[in-house]
Amino acid sequence: MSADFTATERAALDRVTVPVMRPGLAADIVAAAASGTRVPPRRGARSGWRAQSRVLIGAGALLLASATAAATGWFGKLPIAIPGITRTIAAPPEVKKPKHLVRVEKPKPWIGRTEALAPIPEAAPVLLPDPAPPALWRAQRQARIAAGLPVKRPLVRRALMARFRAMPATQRQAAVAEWRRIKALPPPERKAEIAKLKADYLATHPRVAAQVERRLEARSALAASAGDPIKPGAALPSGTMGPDAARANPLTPQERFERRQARRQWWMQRRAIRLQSGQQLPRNQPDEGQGAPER
Amino acid sequence: MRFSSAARETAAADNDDALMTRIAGRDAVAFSRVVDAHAAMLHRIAYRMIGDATEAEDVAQEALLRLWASAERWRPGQAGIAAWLTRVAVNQCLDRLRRRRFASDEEPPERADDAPGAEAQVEEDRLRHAARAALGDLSQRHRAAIVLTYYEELPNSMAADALELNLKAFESLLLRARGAMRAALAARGLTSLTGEIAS
Repeated sequence: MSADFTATERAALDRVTVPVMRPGLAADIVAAAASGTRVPPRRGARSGWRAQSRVLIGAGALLLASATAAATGWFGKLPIAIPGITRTIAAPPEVKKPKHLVRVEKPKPWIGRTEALAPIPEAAPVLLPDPAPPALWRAQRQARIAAGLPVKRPLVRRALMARFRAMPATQRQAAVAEWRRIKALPPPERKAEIAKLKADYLATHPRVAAQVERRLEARSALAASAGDPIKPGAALPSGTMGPDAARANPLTPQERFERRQARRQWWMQRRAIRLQSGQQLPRNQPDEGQGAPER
Repeated sequence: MRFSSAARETAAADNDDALMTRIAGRDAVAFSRVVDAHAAMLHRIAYRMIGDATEAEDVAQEALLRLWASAERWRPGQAGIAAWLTRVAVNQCLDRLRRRRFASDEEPPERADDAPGAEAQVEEDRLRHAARAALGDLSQRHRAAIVLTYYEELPNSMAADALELNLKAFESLLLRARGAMRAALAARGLTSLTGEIAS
């Protein structure tokens, strides 16, 4: 190594002499090691901000990082919610601008014209509001049966579904399996199976059978007395109802028009009654219990 | 050659592993032998690296106390106690020099001496100070390479081990360190780049 420098350079380098080591240093080191205590460094801790510089720089860096994260909305993207921060940082829900609407004069509703309508026929059910839905449904159902009107199917299905859900699991599974079996049958056999089920049920439930009987009688009586405009099909001979009814329909266009008008008028009256009694109008909701439960 | 001093030779005669076994058993006599053998070398390295006598003593003390504390973890067959201590001391010096970037450890200017014949002494002090400043002008690793190879006359392999470099990398570092040293001496007016005394 010495040969790598010239004599002049070596002379200059050799001027860097080392002062003599403190005489007692070796003894101090051995004593400190033996006693297990470390000799404190002779140079004390740096004073002023130098001693705290790392802490200050670290705190400053943390503050800067936090401010950057807050400004960029990074806290809002975290999968966890930080109390007090996420709520503050989270962007408010976007408020859609209201669309510019051109006011169009709508036709006046039929509600205002109820006074001009014909008096309510006795056959129309008068429904009393009942706070308890099942009781209300039951009353509605009885009223419809008494009036010879078809039973409101959603109510029936809702009641059936409630009973179905209340069944034990095994019984429910057996019912579902039976329903699936019947559903898989060809239509004629399916109809026969359903009719058989109905007959079995009515045979074991005399009250229900009596109700059905009463309803059928009321309907046929109503159809026979007034030439029911509500359910024209009920007044027609049974031979005209079926797949060939359209071809065999003896009604003229004028008669069909009058029949449509009568049906429409009845619906208007019914609507007026419901509005007067404060009952909600039926909506086009999916028919509950339309099919058997898929489980 | 400073490594062939009497104390060093005495320590080297003993097997380092045997010494460390005794130190691990908390044998103060064995430790004092190691201290006597290596404290001066560590002090020299630290002083030339840092340029502060007090801090150099701290470095030597810290390295030796580390050896005492970690004697139980000593694995036989290592490079030796001297190499281990040199590596620890150099690392401490580098750490302290890095920390020193945030602190000013400039020595206070020396006071002029009015004693007779002081002019020659002042000139000698100036040159010594300039040489030390030239060494201080080097980067930390260049300085470490010069101190270990020129002043302590360690073989390249041992110096590379102390700086935790492979041999090729150390030789490359040493080549650059020599060039930087020459330039620093010339810049301080101690030599010219042609090898002549500048003034």
